[in-house]
Amino acid sequence: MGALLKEIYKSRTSYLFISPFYILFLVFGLFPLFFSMYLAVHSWDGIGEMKYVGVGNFIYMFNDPTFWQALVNNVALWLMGNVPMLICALVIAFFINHTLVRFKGFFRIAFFLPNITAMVAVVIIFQSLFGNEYGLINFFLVKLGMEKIAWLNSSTGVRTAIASMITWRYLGYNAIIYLSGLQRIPKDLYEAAELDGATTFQTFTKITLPMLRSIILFTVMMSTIGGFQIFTEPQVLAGNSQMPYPGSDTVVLYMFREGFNYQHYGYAASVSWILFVIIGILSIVNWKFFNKSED
Amino acid sequence: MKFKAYSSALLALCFILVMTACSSNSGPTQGTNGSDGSKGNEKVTLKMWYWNGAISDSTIEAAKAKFPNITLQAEKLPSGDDYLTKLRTTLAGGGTGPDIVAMDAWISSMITYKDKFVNLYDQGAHDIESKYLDWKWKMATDAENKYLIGLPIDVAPVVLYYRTDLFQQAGVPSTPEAIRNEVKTYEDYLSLLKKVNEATGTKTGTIADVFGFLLGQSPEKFFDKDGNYIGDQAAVKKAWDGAVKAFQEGLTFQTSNDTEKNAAINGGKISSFAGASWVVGDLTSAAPDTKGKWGIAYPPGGPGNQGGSFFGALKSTKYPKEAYEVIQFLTSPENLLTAYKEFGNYPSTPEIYDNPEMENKNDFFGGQDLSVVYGEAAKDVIIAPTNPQDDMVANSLIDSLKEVDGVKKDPEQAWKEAQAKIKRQLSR
Repeated sequence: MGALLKEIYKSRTSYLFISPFYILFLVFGLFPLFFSMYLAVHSWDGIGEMKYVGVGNFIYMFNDPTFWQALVNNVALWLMGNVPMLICALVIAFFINHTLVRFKGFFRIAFFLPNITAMVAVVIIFQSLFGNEYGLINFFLVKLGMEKIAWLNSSTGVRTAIASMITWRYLGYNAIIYLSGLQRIPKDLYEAAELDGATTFQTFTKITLPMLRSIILFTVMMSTIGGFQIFTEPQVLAGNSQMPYPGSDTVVLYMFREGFNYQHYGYAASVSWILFVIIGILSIVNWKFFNKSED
Repeated sequence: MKFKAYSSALLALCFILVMTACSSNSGPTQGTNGSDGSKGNEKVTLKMWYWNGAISDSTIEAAKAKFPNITLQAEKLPSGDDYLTKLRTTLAGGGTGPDIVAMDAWISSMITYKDKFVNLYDQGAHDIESKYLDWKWKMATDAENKYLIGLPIDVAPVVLYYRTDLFQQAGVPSTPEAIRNEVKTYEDYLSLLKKVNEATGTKTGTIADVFGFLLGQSPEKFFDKDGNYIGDQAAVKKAWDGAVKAFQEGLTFQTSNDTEKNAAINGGKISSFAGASWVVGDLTSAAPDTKGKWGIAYPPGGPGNQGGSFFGALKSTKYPKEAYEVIQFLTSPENLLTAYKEFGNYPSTPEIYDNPEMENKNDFFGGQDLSVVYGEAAKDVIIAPTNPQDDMVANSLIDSLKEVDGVKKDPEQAWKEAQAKIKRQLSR
């Protein structure tokens, strides 16, 4: 121990150089992490005294139907938003990468653009698209002689709206990642397949997909993590609204409301830890599922 | 060796910069902190938090001119929930926050933490108590009226906004005086709405708007004075049933967001709705096509209050006396009049309601003087006891009520579900 300290003292200048990051990390990363663990077993309104409640917060959570509903909504949004999005992204990347397609640079940028637009603005635009009375989609439905759909009155409709926002925003981002993965696949594999007379579909399933396994794992994991932390879309869409917006309440939204609207900070901390565990389990499942034959 | 000394100095500088970046704003106040401000000519620095529209910028400039020995650092922050969260975290953190803070109608929820605020009664607030509306003043005092945490700025009385042309077309009372005299209760209003609806096909606001309006008229809300839950009893149920009735008779307009609401108002689908005094700005910009067709009247069944702010001082301030002087100046009737003329915040000091300068003839409302109706409504507001849990109860009830309209849930079922949810929340 003494030797270690001596060693540190000897290279103190170097340690001083790297210290800003560690100090900031300590203050804004590590401390809140441990403090939230401490909070999770307490009841605290943010200003008054903290009260130790043990696992009380967790018991309350598991008995709260609103929490379970939020979790169900989360899973539904994740399935509706991310699964089709990832499949489409892969197909788009495959076509952009295809030798027949020209203006590759243009398509890359065009598909990526949605990802850099401001999220709140996107939500507000989608909100007007899906509006019940004066929405653009309903406007066209009526023009085509169909009935108006009250999108924001049913959970399916609300989820469709949110899922389409997720898809719109992250499609290009994931396509770019797939594209970089595709470009890593050696050309000779495709050439060999072509010589053997393989169809486009066969090349896709027999060469592209297996070679992309690790990239797919990455995107699935990232979109699981992102999908379970979805907040802005439902918050801006349904927060402070005049309508119930069924199916839009997610776990992060639930946590935010409990913490910052109702001042149950301890409870909100325990919700965030449960969310952490859920995401952790799903990540492990993804890992096992996509990585099983790559060793 | 020389290089090493140089690099060490550079590093130390970086280090200091990083550390001070974490504690910005501490710089300017340090000069005065050391001297306790007791010396006669020493400049006192007061930091003030407010949001856009809480107080007029010209009033802040006037305060700076009036108190040459005080450096007033007015910081404009984002309004709404963000502001409340920032104030709460500051109170929780216990560090040195601002000296003066603006507070919204949620000030009553801060009474629980009154020891974090300066008791303005100790600074002589009793002397000016009679200038302000009594109900507004009481929102910032504790139950025994011994502790005052804020001085009133503005009030937001709820009045009835209505389309004069549509009311005339339906042959119902259409002048402010006639409405006040003939449409006295909520039942009267419902039957009026029905006539207007039959004649013109127009409606009122959402089911939740109606609920909020009715609840605002009630002397009792979700909790009694001692903090017992009474939100499942007659007063709240009456407001709930009233809102449901309006919905069942097809008189509420379902809008899913503000864009839709504005479109509905501009498109002439809404004949009338109850709204606070600050609605004027929103309405004027939302419905330009209906300019000149609106009027306001004393609300059927009585007024309520939705919003209106206060100025208080945090206990952590070193200069409670100076802070109080500034607050008193900012909330003086003359300065509140300025704010009303600039952006329509209705003052909480009844003495100036009859002041000729208060006249506020608005073309959007066919030249009606809005101040008259606001003044009448403001004097009659009743405030129910408040509780820190009010928000949670209101959210739960309104969420369920919206389901009655949105997904056609049975009203009784929705009521039961909301009550169960609230009792679960209250049980911890």
